[in-house]
Amino acid sequence: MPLGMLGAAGLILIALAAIGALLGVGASRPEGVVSVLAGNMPRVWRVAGFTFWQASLSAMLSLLVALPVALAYWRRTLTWKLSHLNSLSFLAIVMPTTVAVAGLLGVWGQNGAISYLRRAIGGDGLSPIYGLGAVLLAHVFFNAPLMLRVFISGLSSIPAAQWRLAAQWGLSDWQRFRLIEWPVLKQLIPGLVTIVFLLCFTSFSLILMLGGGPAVTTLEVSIYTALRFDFDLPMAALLSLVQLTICAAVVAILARLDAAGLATVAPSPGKRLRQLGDAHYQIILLDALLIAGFLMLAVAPLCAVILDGMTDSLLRVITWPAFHRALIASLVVAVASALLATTLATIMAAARVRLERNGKWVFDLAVSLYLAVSAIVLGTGLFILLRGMVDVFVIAPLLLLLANMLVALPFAYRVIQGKMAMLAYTQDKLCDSLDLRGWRRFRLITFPALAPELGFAAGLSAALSLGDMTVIALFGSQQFQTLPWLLYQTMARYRAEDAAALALLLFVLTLLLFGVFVRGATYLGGRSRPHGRQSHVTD
Amino acid sequence: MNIKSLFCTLVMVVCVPAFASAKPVLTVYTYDSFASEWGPGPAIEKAFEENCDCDLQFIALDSSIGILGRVQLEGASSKADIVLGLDTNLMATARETGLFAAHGTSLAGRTALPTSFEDDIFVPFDWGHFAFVYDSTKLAKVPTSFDELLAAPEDLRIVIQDPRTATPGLGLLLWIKSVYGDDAPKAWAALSPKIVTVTKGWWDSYSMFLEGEADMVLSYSTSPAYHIVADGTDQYKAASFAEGHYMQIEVAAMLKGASQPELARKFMDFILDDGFQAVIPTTNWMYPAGKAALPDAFDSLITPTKSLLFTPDEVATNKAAWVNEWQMALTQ
Amino acid sequence: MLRIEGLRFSWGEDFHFTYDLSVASGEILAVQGPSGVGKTTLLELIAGFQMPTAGNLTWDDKDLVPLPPWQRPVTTVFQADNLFSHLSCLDNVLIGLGPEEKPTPALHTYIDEYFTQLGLKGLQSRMPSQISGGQQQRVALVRALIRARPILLLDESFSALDWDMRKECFDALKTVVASHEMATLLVSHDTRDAEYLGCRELRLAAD
Repeated sequence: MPLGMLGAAGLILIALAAIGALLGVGASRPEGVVSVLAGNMPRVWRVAGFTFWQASLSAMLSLLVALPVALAYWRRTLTWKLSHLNSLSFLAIVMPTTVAVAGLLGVWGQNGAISYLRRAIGGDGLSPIYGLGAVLLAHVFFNAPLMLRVFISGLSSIPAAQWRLAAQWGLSDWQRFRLIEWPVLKQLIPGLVTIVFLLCFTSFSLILMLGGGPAVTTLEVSIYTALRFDFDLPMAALLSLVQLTICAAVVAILARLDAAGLATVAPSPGKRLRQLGDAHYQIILLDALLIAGFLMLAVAPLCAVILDGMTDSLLRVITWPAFHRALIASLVVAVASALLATTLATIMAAARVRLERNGKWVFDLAVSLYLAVSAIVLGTGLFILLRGMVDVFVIAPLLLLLANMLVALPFAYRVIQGKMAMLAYTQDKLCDSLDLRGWRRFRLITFPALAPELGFAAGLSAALSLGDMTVIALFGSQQFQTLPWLLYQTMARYRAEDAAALALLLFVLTLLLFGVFVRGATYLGGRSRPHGRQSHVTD
Repeated sequence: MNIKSLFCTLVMVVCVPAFASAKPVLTVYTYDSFASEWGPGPAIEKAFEENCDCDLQFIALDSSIGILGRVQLEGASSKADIVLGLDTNLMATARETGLFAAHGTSLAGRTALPTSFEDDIFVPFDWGHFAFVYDSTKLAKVPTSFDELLAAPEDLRIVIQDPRTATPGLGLLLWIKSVYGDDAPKAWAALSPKIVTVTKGWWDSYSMFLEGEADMVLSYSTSPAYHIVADGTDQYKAASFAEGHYMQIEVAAMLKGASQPELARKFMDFILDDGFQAVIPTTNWMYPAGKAALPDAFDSLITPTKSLLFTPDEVATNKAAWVNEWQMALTQ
Repeated sequence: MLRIEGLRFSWGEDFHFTYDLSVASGEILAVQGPSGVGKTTLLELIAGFQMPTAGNLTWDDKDLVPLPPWQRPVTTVFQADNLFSHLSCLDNVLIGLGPEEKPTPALHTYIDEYFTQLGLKGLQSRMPSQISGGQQQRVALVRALIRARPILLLDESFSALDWDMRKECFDALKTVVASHEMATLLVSHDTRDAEYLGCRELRLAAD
């Protein structure tokens, strides 16, 4: 499909153009740029190395947390009511970073819940947690739930026949894991590790909030400071290229191992049979510990956010005109970027199906690029390219929209692409033979089947947009505010309670928007009928 | 389709009011707390508009460092007539951009700063000293000098800001540099074990301090005045150090590409007038640069014996090296 | 008349199938043979899912080879996964009508009759997940019958049904094939099928 190829080419061009624009600003003094580079390389390598190290650690830790919990969850789906755990845990995925960190500190901070409990039983409160440990904790908080969902989804896709065999043969836990569960999980791991690694590699707000000092830093922080505070655009561009290269290498290596892509992250019900060993008390205890531990990790911070925000300020903040303005701006940008990201992701996923291996690789790279190129580099670079042509105040919202869309695209793409490939595999011949092609096929056949994934992708994109603090910092002003911007300003004015209330509102809005997209997509998918009217039923 | 047109409408609605008034518009880029309802912005706008027959519009950006960045980013197409809220550390860099014009105002006899200030492009509008703020009901042993702070036991928890992203952070870096010179890395090494965390912005660390997560926070010597006036409490105080305190002088400048150069010059002149200066102490919580009366709450504030300040050129030349030095010192 | 002359399909260098056969309108041809001998490939070539490397494939002297699957006058009932899981059985049948045709009341009556005839009475509004595999295949057969394209390809479509139900399907098949004059190819591995249908057999053997 030429549209898809155009999309891939366009994506690569935009990223390179943005970086090129930054480099171009330094073009008048090329010798200066080269000497800057030479002088800074040792520092850059050090930062890059540390970034790589903390990202790898984070990804591994998330895996070590998610895997056992997924198995425990799966063992217990029959007997314990755990479906809400699955839904709750994904809240961590969509939460804006600032809000999430506030929540984490509400649990693990010096004045947090755990400190409180320890003091209540006569001990000391927790000492400050800032540093690499806090960063890893936060990364696991954000990413283990994502991995958990995918693992559970994978486990629930195992055919019932295999479970029946296992029960009948009385397989032990270890045998069952080795023969049935592990092969499925193994396929999912490379893709998951890639995406979590990239997310942690480009981590920014989190590092600044929890890192504790310059010892804990990432390339992204260096890019941000170079861009916004030193206004050293060529440096930012070079750092961007370093980041891009490392990330591209990681993506390429893991892509070799990745068979299934991110499979489906959208919720899917699963059935499980009672197995030998389920009733052993040791297993039950283990499962209880794992699940409780996970709850504390993933859900407690959310409770902290809710509790902190439920003050009188809440009612006051809602009446602010600034809040209304920011709310509308945030909603418009979030919805628009979600729709755009989902549409583009769908077009590209559809086109990818018809490509052979090399073409697939190029597509995946073009999209994954945006996991490695930061939103702020995009925003700044594109702004520079466009500033002569259009009014600067009008451009700002549009660039925010574009940057948000591009940041969300890799996620939307991964969510949609796996399911799309599966649908194509099972439905291509059938649809071709029934002359179901093009838009008609999409409307009647693909969309209803894809609706859960589309809703999830759109919801996720909207959530990411709502949480953006970097591009809006570049373009925000009193005239054009989004909610995170307003939150940040409020925080800077001695208004802690108002800020907590805003954080809660932002969180609730994110959830609502996510729910609207998921429900909306399912509703639209269910309404699809071949001839647009009710079926005719006799007798 | 509907969403697109709604979006375009919203963009227009959001942007058009700026052009709706018939009077000439003077656009001032400043940092967010200056232009907020609780800041000096509204009162200053009112005072200036009384005599100018114009519409003064503050565009609030996220920080003082961000203002310069934004103006550089926008380049010649910038809408700003004036930027308000840079400080002496940014002056040399700002001058080098070539974007700013001479203000044509006479500063002689109108300023009340601890040090002399003469510049053809930048006009000072307020100033302050950096200081460590503490809770006098909680902290028993308060350091009276920098040496004492460095020698304090490790359980003294302090929180500071990143010099790359926050003005006070850079202020502390320059403060230590001006007191300890080449021994600055040793000073940082001594300070490091006491640092709970280094935050991106001033409020992040100040709120931590208020919540009891640190014993001392790097802030301004005027912060206690806010609590006296707004909260009615005098428990928060600033520690006065014998070696002296580093200063921050905030400045404003007009752009060469200003669309209203006459009005801009008028505003630059207005800055040191009473109409502007009288508002500053209890809205911006800094000392006025001009001659204006101070509120009672300021009486109990510390008055450092020495005011330390590097020249703008010194800062511009050395900042990158000094920040690197800081990074290395804290990474050990 | 469906004519296949020297139709050749190759995998790599040394592996190929060659087909020579013809099927008249209203005729059923049972294609039999061991697995791997190319029965499904034959149907795929006729339907347009695979391209031949040589030979002729014509319907009423019109060359089918350059046509994509959706332009060929063919309906295929696959071995499984014939139905879309989000559409009811009735909608699954109706979707076979293609973009241009609109369902008429008469058509709905036909559909109901076929449903009854094939033991699917009352299942029109059920979803595929609510009926058995054998029932799904029969719904797919109804769709094929409604489409009434001149060529009908059945790829082990009824192999999962028990003999009694298979006989009923074959009865319905015979009637419709005759009345609509469809040229039908039935791939199966059960020799009773051809016997019951009383039709011509084509035995494929490895080259």
